[in-house]
Amino acid sequence: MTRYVAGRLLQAVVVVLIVTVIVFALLHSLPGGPARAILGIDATPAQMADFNHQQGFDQPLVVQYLQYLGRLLHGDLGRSFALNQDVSAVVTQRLPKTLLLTGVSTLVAMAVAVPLGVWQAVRRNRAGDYVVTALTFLAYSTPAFFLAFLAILLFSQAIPLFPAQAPQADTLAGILAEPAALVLPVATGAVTAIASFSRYMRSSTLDNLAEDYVRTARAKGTVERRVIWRHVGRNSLTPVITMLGYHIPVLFGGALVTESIFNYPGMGLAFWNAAQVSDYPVLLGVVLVIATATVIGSLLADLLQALIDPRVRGAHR
Amino acid sequence: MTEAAADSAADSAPVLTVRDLRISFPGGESRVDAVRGVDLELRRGEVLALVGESGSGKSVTALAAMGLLPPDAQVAGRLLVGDRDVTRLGPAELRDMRGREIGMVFQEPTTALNPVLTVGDQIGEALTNHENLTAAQVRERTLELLEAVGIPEPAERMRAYPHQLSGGLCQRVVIAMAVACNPAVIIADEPTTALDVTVQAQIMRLLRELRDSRGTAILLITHNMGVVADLADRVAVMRDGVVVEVGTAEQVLTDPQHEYTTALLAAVPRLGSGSRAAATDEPAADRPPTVLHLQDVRVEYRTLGRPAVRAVDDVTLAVRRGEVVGLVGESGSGKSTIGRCALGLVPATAGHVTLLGVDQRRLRGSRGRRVRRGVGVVLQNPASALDPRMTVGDSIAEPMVIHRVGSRAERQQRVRRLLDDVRLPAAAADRYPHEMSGGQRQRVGLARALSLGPDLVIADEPTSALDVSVQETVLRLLTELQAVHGFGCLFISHDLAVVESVAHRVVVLLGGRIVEEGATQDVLHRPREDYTRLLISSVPVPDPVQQAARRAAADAVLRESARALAG
Amino acid sequence: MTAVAQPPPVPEVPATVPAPRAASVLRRLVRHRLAAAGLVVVGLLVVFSFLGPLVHPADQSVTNLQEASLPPGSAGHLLGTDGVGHDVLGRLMIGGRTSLIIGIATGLLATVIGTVYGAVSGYFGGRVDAVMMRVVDAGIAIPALFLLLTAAAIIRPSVTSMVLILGFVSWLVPARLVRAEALSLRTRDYVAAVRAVGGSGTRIILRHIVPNTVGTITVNATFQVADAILLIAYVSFLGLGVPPPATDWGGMLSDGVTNIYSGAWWLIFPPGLAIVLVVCAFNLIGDGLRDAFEIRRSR
Repeated sequence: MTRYVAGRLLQAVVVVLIVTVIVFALLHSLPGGPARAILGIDATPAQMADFNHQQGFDQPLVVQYLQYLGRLLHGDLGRSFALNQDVSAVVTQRLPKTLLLTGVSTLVAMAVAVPLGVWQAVRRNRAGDYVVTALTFLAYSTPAFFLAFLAILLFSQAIPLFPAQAPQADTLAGILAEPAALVLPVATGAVTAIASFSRYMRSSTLDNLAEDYVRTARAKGTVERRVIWRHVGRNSLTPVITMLGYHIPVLFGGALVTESIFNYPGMGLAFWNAAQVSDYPVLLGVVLVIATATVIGSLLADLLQALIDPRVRGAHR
Repeated sequence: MTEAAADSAADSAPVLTVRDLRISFPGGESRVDAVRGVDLELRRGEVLALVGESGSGKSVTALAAMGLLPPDAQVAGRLLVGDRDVTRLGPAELRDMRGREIGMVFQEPTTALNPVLTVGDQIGEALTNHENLTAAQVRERTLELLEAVGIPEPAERMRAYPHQLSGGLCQRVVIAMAVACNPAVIIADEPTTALDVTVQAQIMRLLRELRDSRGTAILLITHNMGVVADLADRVAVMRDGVVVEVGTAEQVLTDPQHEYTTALLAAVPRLGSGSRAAATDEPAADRPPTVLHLQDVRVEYRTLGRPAVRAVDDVTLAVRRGEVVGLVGESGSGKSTIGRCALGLVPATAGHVTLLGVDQRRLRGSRGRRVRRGVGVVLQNPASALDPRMTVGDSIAEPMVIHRVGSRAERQQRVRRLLDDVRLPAAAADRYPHEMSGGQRQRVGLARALSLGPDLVIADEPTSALDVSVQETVLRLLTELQAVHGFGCLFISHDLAVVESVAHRVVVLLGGRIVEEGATQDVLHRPREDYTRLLISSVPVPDPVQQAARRAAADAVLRESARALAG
Repeated sequence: MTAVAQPPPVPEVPATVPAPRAASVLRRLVRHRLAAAGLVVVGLLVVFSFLGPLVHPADQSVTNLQEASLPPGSAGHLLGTDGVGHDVLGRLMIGGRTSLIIGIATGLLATVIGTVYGAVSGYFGGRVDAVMMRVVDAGIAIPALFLLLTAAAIIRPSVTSMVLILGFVSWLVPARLVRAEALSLRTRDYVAAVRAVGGSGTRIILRHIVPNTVGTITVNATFQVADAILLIAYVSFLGLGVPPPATDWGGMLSDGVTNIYSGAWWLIFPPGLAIVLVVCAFNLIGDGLRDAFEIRRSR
């Protein structure tokens, strides 16, 4: 198990390094290069040349990359010229809020999707399965922003149940203090995820129901409910957890949309605002942080899977 | 097996009664009848073997007795477990019956167990399904069961997961679950088919012990006549959903009445029925050239951060043109790795592989490609031996395309010739593998191997997935073609009887090392090594009297080697 | 995994990709009722977007403020007009054209890149595979939407640049799927048989591995189109899509949002429903194809 964790950690570090290379490449593909990114769009060519020389941006790319990496290790993500703030400060302020929103959405989604998928698999090709399948297809095909509008129109305008704007508090506690305002953003994020995960869970359960061990469990007189939940459920969950790992980038992408619609003060909103004014340091910093969060997320998903499935532990011991 | 057991069984009421059982499944336009009126009776302490080839309906009958058929199956007739009719029970009653009155053992022990639950949990569940027990009682009973099925270190194994156990141990666990609540009947569906012969012998011994100690009746589903001879009191032979013959094991196996039974028995390769080796055993003074030579070959599999696994250890062997060398061994013996290594699919860690006179390490690039023209391959699994998206004709022609042999028309003509050689119609060239039976596909594989007129053919378990009658045809074809074309052949198999019927020489492997080698007759009839002797005596022969003697001999070998180990 | 010796690839006779059961797959697809409905919807939307402008004026170069914000049913404007006087129905047509072209082109591009990359990685396995897959992991770790917005902030988007960027974001998933299949296909006996008689790596990948992943590839390509249409809608919605006067359905929706409280529902629902409809249709086709190819069930 230790060896498995160590190997997996090493893999994650390599992936993060490749991500930094990609972000570094993006930085250098900016018109005007990093000088433009730091001095802003109004800088003159002379200013930029001067700056490039000062900062060592006329040195070989490899050297520059290593310097860039060194700055990253010191937590220096650059400085936003639009917000006049260090990017690292923007991140520390906003990342927890985004994690809260995506975390709660994902938990809600899993809590609904897992039982729903199993229920569909057990009732395969019956009316209930068809209805849920149709709904999941519809939910999956609806862009989150359109869904958000419908939710606002319905539950905020027509029937004023929840506010149309997310909590605006600065702290996590402040955000949690307004649960009603969280309902629509969380629900919007959850619906799309439910659509995907229930499909995975359904097909994974169907696959497992056809396995030999299910027949063995039935042959010894196990109650069907126990066959489904104790035997099939746990086995079916492992591929879904792997999918959850792969799905994290999609979840963050969803958060970007949800945050911008409900004006939720997270990373996504900061990113969107930065995109409008070409605030490159924020854009690249957030990309790096989100990618790292994704890598950590899929690492956790894999470790969780190793906990559930003894074969994963054994195979890498 | 014993007369006494059979006599006393006859008095008691049957524990399993099948009356005019009919089962059909939806299939296309109409329903397919899998079982068409079967009558059977099984009494306490009796072993009834249900034999037949694939599609005979034997497994469907077994599943019906457990009430485990898929919901779209239609069942008619009566199926009594004790005095309850399974076909009329509701889900709750069925559940109550399964495990308590009737247990089941399956073919694939490794997939029959849930991978994420411990062995102890799974056996414990078989108990708690039917009895109210405290955790301590469950633990105690589970330990008893593990001991009863002969699992060493039961307290430790209880906490193990299935993937940590060998196939044989997994099968013992499955058997422990089947007998957990002491049911009157166990259905064993091909319980030893997925196991090595020596393990098969152990599992058969265990089933016999359980029958004797607990009086459990066993319905044994199998295609292996040797297993039948070893274990069964009575035999029912099934074909196309009907029982064609029933009788005592001795009578059916030694004096079959129905022509199908006779044909079936005739197709079974029998160990000790003489080999083809004699004539060509001593080659003439000008010996034919060596087509494959392995010198001190070692193959290791390395995984990052783990000690290397040595699959093949200092193996030296040679195959000459015109001879068939049988490579036998159980799973993990390295026999398939040797085959793959000879083909260059797996690199040798040490030693030399010489293929058609050229060192393997020089076989890269276009020169190696030319050498490989002289090699043909037939592989085990008929389902994956042919590319499903290529026509049979394209598959056979592919080696010619790779080596740019002939024009398109010439290749087509050659494909027709080859199809004719393997007794397939020319029209088969346009068909896809999924439209053919397993035996036909293996014949196509043979045709592909012969496509370039090879000097060496490597055949890895070419018939192990086939029914005996089909196996016989394919083997006969292989030996005929070998005699005509005179290629050298490395024939890899776990089946000693099959090897005996095709090989001139035999090499016995154990744990990646050669244990014994020599002329087929010598090795298989006068083995020098204990392991070879054990291997040979573990193979059950389809004759109850002979088999009883062989079993005694095998026990003796085991005792002897145990003594040798102790001393 | 041990590193397995490979003969160096040698150019072969050009490999065709045989799809012997294409006809039967198509037959099964049409019989699959939901998938057939999806095909019909996609067909209708293609006709609407590409042939519609021949019947209904869809010229978007002129703004006409006198005819701005007309409700549906106004003379000559079946679906009304938007805030600058563009006819909504006509705009829906040219918007659909953008969405469909970008979606389908992206799906194809991503599938081609992903299939080749995945097949190579899976076939060689071992270290080659480990390196190639870490690159994919890194690509996947950056959420597509974030990368797209960054890219859109760097270069002014056009249809071509959108397709290229989306394609470079979307090939990762098919690459991973094909790689997983290639890993299992390369252990099949028929691959061993071809290698044993001296078949080259190129031949095995092109003639044996890729054709046998055709089911997975086709199904995934369909889903890719659906996802690409969604992604482009997101980007446009966030204000960084193709610049006006060109538009796509996401962009129309974005423009309509400003009117959400003024009751101009006809600016929101037509493009919104159009997106749902086309994405749903492609997903249904993909699901039907999965059944038709019997992926998973044919194990």
